[in-house]
Amino acid sequence: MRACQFILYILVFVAFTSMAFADENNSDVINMDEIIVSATRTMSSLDKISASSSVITEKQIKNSTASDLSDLLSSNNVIQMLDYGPGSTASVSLRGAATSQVLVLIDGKRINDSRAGGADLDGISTDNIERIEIIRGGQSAIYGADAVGGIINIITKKPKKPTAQAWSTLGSYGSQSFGLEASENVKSISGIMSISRTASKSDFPYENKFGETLIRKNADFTKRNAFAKLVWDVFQSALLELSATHYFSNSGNPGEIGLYTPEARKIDKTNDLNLNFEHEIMPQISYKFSAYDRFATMHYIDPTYPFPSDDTHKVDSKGAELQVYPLQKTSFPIVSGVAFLNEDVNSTAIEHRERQTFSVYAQQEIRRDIEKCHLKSISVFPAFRWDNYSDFSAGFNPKIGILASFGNKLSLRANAGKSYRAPTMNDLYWPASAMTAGNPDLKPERSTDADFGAQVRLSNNISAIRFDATYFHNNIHDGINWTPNQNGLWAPINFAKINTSGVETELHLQFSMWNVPDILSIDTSYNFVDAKDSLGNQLIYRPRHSVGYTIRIGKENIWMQVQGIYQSQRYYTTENTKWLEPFMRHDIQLGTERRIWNGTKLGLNVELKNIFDKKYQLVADYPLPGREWSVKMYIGIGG
Amino acid sequence: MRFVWNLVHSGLLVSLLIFNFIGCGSENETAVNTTATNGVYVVNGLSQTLSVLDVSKSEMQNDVLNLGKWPADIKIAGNKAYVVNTGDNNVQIIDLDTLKQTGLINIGDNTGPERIAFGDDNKAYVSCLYTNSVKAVDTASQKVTKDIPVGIGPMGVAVAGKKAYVCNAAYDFTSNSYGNGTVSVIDSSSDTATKTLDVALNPYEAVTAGSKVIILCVGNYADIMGKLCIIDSATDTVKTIDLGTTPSGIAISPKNVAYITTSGGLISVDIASGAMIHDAGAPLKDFAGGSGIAFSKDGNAYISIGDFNGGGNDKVLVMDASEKLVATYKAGGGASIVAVRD
Repeated sequence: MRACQFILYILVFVAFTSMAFADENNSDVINMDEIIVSATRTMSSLDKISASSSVITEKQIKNSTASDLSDLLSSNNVIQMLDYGPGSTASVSLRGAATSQVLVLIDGKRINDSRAGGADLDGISTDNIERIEIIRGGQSAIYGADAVGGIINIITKKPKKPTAQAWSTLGSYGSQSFGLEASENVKSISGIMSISRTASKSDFPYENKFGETLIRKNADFTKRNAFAKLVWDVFQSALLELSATHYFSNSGNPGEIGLYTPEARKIDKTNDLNLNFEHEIMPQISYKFSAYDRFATMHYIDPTYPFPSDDTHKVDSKGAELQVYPLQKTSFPIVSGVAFLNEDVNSTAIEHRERQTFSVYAQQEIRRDIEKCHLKSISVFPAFRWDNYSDFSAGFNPKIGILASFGNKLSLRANAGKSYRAPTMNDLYWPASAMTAGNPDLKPERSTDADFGAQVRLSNNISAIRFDATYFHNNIHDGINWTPNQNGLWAPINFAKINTSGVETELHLQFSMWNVPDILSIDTSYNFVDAKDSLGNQLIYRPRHSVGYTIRIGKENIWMQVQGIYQSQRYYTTENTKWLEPFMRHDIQLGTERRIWNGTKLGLNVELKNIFDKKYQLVADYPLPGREWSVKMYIGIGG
Repeated sequence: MRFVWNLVHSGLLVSLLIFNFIGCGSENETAVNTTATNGVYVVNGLSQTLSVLDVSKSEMQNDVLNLGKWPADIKIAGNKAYVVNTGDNNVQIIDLDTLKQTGLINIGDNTGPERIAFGDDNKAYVSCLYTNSVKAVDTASQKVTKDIPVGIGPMGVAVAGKKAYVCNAAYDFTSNSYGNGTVSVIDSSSDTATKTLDVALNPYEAVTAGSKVIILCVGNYADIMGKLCIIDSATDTVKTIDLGTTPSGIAISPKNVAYITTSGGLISVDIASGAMIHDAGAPLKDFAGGSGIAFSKDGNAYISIGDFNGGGNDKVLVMDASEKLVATYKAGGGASIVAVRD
């Protein structure tokens, strides 16, 4: 019934807005093109792909005072965050999928932890990020394991014209950060480097279960980040790119309300090295070779009785990938590739484990221009990927997408495919003890998903509108759950079945007035997610309804932005007997930038988060701060 | 102008769309409308709720009251039930006539309360796993009156006369193994531990049978099987009986027989003689997989079988005095501890 209601709204909306724009002059229109590479592994725009996608732009990132990805994404409704608090773990959910069912990539390379599953967004500095691409729906046919709910691809910054910038941020609860960034070109070589440091006491007040107001203890953190990238135009059609990232974090782990861990510390170190070589052999054929090494260490120590721990986990991921792009610049381009990944895990929990993955994949866009009944073109996107793991069988995962474009105003799209989540090394190899044991016979979690939706794009010389709506359904089987056997021994088994369906809507309005381009923009999104287990219970921490909005007004040199998110109740017992109350949070940001002398800019961003001091939790018994402020000042030369 | 006007209309339409969907959301409420003078109360560990079986009407109502996090024990005193919530570090006091929470005893952060037993004069003892101690509690003022250090990993607690017996399971969370199982004996007049008794591996539950205290030792869930230790509270001597299997819960019948739940079925031991009645080789198989167990005065036993896979196959079985299965009721998620009021 709700789906019918939704479709009715879509039809009414499409008709209404089409009529509204029917007589407008479409010349000199506002440009809303947003580049996206993750959907097809080639550069495209949001209206030229079949997948439901969103982009968090460079401008949005620059205007934020957020120092890490979880902080940045917590203010919008593009994905659902599961945040354990400042400086602590933060994970994501897309389309109701669990953290381990969402693949997080940096420049196309996976960063999901093969030992424990999922990715911690708290450990990704915003300083390195140019933009973030989010593709919803199963993507294993393109990216392999863990892309059940979708992917988040973080695109790192590239060198631009010679610039230098320094910034510093101060905020509530003792938070402070500073950073430097410089970019330079020397003949055919360009480079960018940045360093930053962020620290916070995070000693915010919260209320415990007995109504007492306490101060959060041991929630402090210090993070350091260094990033460098060199790009060399080897010759006219070849590009060599070398990048390196170092990240260090030392954070307290305060524990949950009532079961505190006042001395627990978590120390993370990550070193990334990437090499890319792209070569266009001829206009229709090019290739790209990538090699990378990511070494991540996590040391967790907690002397608190009765669960003292002193664990170190090291994951060394070395990979290489060759992508070939035949038939480019035709109506049926192909992307194909082979990839190899070696993951070497040394852990005090599961000892030394290795996993090798060999993959072959291909996808094509077959586009046909049609001039019939307002239909301008149809594109079909078939794709497949075959993954062979050394320690379990993953097999073949296909996908197909269809995009029908009715001129520039309306496009309809549909996708269907199969995806999977790899069992983690903890699932497979957790050592046998009195209480727990891993299961080396586990199979991957499998999913079959489909979606269909519409995008309306209308614009004239003063305004533009883009509306996206998508219905999706995802059926997961062989889900891995840790459950006790008859002797009380907890072990993972493949038995869970999950059915998820829902709708996603995004509305973007953009206005230009008084000769100022994009002086006002309004973004709203609404998601409905019905994620049910085999008993019909909603999965824990999945709100059925979530709403986000952003209203921005101003020019490049002075602007104000108000944004907010709403989440309906979220259950935290699998039987849906307990839940976190709904919340609505609003943030406000002000920014100004002035040219103080020739080529030198001075900027100031002021942010007030959770302006109405709403008490809420995203994970039960892990309180989040109330009202927070931060001020960011920067000075830049060039650019 | 017309364009802007239409845009405003479009925005309103979208707003309607958004808030209509929000309005469609149904918010669940937990109903509290069940009382039973002769009732069986079941703690559901996964759903963290209470189920109530009205014995006179043969009606089970599930999820009638929200409990705290990780509910680990329920004991009844008069018309009140005391539910120990390990994860919330508290004891909920529930009025069984109204099925409403009427009090809360805060045991203290990071204490990990596990079991409760009642002494004289409004005194209760709460074992605290994380502090290796037992808290003496005044149930009238709902305050902790004393912290009594005991052995490592205190779990089950029972009171016999003027003494409280506390199981020290000695689980080592670092090595995932068990140390020597002991029982601390607390003198309730001074609220100090006066003696430590050696028992079998992993003493987990303690119940009273007249002047005897029965300690259920679970073993290591692998190659060391469970044992039953019978302590004579007059002399504090220990008699040990091999069970030959891994036990789960224990209750004493009105005929002074200890019934023990196991994955293979119900086994039983005559307390007076120490003889096995139904051993692990010939258990009462109708009750296989049981965890919690409690007896009513008429000799009926109520046995919970929790589905900890979250599959919803949780139930309470009723065994009559002739050891026959006479009824089955659906219970809440992760049905575990059972208590009877009659």
